[in-house]
Parts: sequence; structure tokens; C-alpha cells
Amino acid sequence: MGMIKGCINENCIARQKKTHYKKTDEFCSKCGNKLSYVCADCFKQLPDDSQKYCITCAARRKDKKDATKNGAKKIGGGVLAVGGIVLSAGKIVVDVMRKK
Amino acid sequence: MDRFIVPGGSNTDVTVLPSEDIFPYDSAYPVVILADGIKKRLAQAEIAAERVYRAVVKQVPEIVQLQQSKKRGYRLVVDASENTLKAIEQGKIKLTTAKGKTYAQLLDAKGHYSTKLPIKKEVFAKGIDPVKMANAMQMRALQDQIEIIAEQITVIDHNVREVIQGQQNDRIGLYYSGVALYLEAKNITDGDMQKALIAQSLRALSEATFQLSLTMKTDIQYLVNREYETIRGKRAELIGSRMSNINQSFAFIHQATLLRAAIYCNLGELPVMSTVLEEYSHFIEDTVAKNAPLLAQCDVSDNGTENGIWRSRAKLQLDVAEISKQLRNTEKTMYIGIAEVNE
Repeated sequence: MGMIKGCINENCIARQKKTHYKKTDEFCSKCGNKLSYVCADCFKQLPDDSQKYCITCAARRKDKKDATKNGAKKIGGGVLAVGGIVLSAGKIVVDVMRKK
Repeated sequence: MDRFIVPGGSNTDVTVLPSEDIFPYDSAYPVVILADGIKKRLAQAEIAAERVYRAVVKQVPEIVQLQQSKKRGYRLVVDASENTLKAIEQGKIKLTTAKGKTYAQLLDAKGHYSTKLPIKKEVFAKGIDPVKMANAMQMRALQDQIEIIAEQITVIDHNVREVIQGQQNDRIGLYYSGVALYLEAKNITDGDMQKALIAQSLRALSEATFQLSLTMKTDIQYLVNREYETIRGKRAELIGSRMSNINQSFAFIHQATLLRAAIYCNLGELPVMSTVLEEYSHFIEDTVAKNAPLLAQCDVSDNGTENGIWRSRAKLQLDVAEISKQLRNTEKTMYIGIAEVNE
């Protein structure tokens, strides 16, 4: 799913520009080098088509997702806390108004 | 100044300084000592070759035979037993002759054809059976292969030096202990003490090598098993930290191995030197080559191409097996290139 083929010749312009090739392409149109599956982020050579990202980029992406989830949890927690404070403050206001 | 030019690489041209000009704790020290040792052995081999040649020149018939056969690159030797030779000398049996030529088939006293003697093919390399100067002569005969190995080592050495700066742990301490003991051994006057210090130095270097190789294998296994996946949000950091350990271990394994090889080379123990290099070759094959694609993916400093750090290291399996075999062989037959001297 979404695997990328690219040129792994470090001197080739197709690699420098990170040109994506089709799965059916076998050779680089710029230098003629054999194409290989590469990481969609850093363009490192991958052993086969079983992964889209290299180990480091995949780990970074997962970490980023975790960080986003944690952030959302914190925001959610903050909203709840603020909501709780507002609610308790509202109760106090209502009590004060009733006494009057 | 020695200069190892490595084919196929623009940045792999490494200049090796003479050993007196280099600080012992410099990361280039082991490779310089090894290059120096090899250079000395080759110089000795040249002298030995000349001496053996002069001794051989006295045996003219043998020389004529060698000169005639050098064009073919081999000569045929009859492998006769001692009893057969005695019988020939005593005239009990004769070698077959026809049209003035002698053949390796025997004729008995009655003129009947008898036993056929086996004929052995001996290929000429570069020398002639030097018993007393065996080590030096081996070096001469294996010069080309040794130079190739020195080039391969230089390539690996180039990219490990950067890792070494500022690294410290107890295993690395063992490496420095080995270096210090070797330095002390070089400067001591008492012979027995010197031997003892060299032995201790070799032991410290060997322990450093094997402890670091185990550490490196454990770190690689951690990555293979994806153990970093268990700690959320810190995966990339954990991979990076393991890769830093692996790079560090590899760098010091390389240094300690080269220094061990250099020490043996300087002591004239060439078979042991080649054993050390053979072990290193196996280590690269088993640990680095097998895991090169994984390590290239995990190492942010690797560009991920065929010329990337880990794939390059994996390709550099030292071609020492053949040398080791020849150096360990108890029956050594070597030939001098006589034609080169006469012509």
C-alpha cells in the first residue's frame, strides 16, 4: 500500500529530487540504475515492498501520533477541569442568588 | 609516508603517518602500527629473497631447470620413494628412455616395463623453499594479498574514527589498557618483562574485542526484536541510542582487532596475525553483513544507498582465509622469481 520505488544512485538527479517511480518501473529514467523500494520519507533503500517507511521514519511517525494523542488527552483533561471549575462556580453563584 | 589508495572511492584516500609521528591514543594508531609492521616485514622479505636467491644460484642445474620452466609457470616433479631412488642408483631398475628422452616409467633388469611413477605438478609463485626465512618469504609471496587486505582495513578504518572521539565505558577502558600496556612493553629493556607486558596487552585487547562484540550483538538483537516498540513516544530516541552504542562498539572492535594484528605482525607471528584478521572477517560476515539492511535503516547517518556506511562495511569481508591457510600450512614450498633477477 503506497510503496515507493526510487533511484538509489547517490549521484543521480532523480534521487536528489526524490522522484517517485511506478511499481512497474524497473530502471531509473535518468541514470539507468536499477530501481529499488525506498522509504517514502527519507528515501533510504528498503529490502522489499513490505513496508512504506524505514524503521526510523516509521518509529518517528508512531511517536508523532502518540504525541498528538497525548496532547489531545491533555487538552481534553484541561477542558474537563475548566468545565468542572465553571460548574462549581456556577453552583456557588446560584446558591448566593437563592440566599438573596 | 605510506599512502593507501582505495579503488572506487573519492573520500577513501587515507594517508598513513609513520608510527613515531602519531600519538598512541589517536584513533589512527592501530592502523598506523599495522601498516608499519607490514612494511617492515616486506622489507625483510626482500632481503631474505635476495639471500635465498644467491644460495640457489650455486645450484646451477636446478636453476637451468627453473629458467626453462618459468615460461610455463610450472614444472613436473617425479614423486619417487626412497627405495625406488636407491634401486635406480644401484642400476636395478632404470627410467624408460626413448629417442634420447627419459620418461617416468621404470624398466626392470630384464627390460620389462614396470611401475609407473606418479608425476607431481608444482606451480611457481615467487620463491624457493626457504626454511630459515619462512616467515619473511611468506610475506613476500603473499604481498599482493596483504596489500589488498590493508586497503580493505583502511576503508573501514576511515569511517570508524569519527565515532571514537569522546566515547567512554568500561569495555573501552580495556582497549586503552591494552594500548597502554603495549606502549610500556615497547619501551621496557627487560626481555621477560616485555613478553609479559605484551601478553597482558593482547589479553586486554582480546577481552575488549569480545565483550564489545557481545554488546553489539545484544544491541542488534534489540533492534531485530523491535523491543523499542513497547515504549510509546520514545521509539525513535531508543533506536538512535542503540545505534549510537552499536557504532561505538564497532569502532572499538575494529581498533582493538587492528592493534592485536599489528602486535603479532611486529613480533613476526604472521600466522597468528592472519588468524586475528580471519576472526574479524567472520565477525563482519556474521554480525554486520547479515544485519546491514536493518542497521542502515536505523542509522540516521547512513544514506541508505549501496555505498552507505553499513552496506559498505558489510562488503568488506577481509580476504584472509587463503593467506591463513598458506601461513598455517606446515609443508611450505616457495619459489623465487629467478628470471626477474637474471634478465
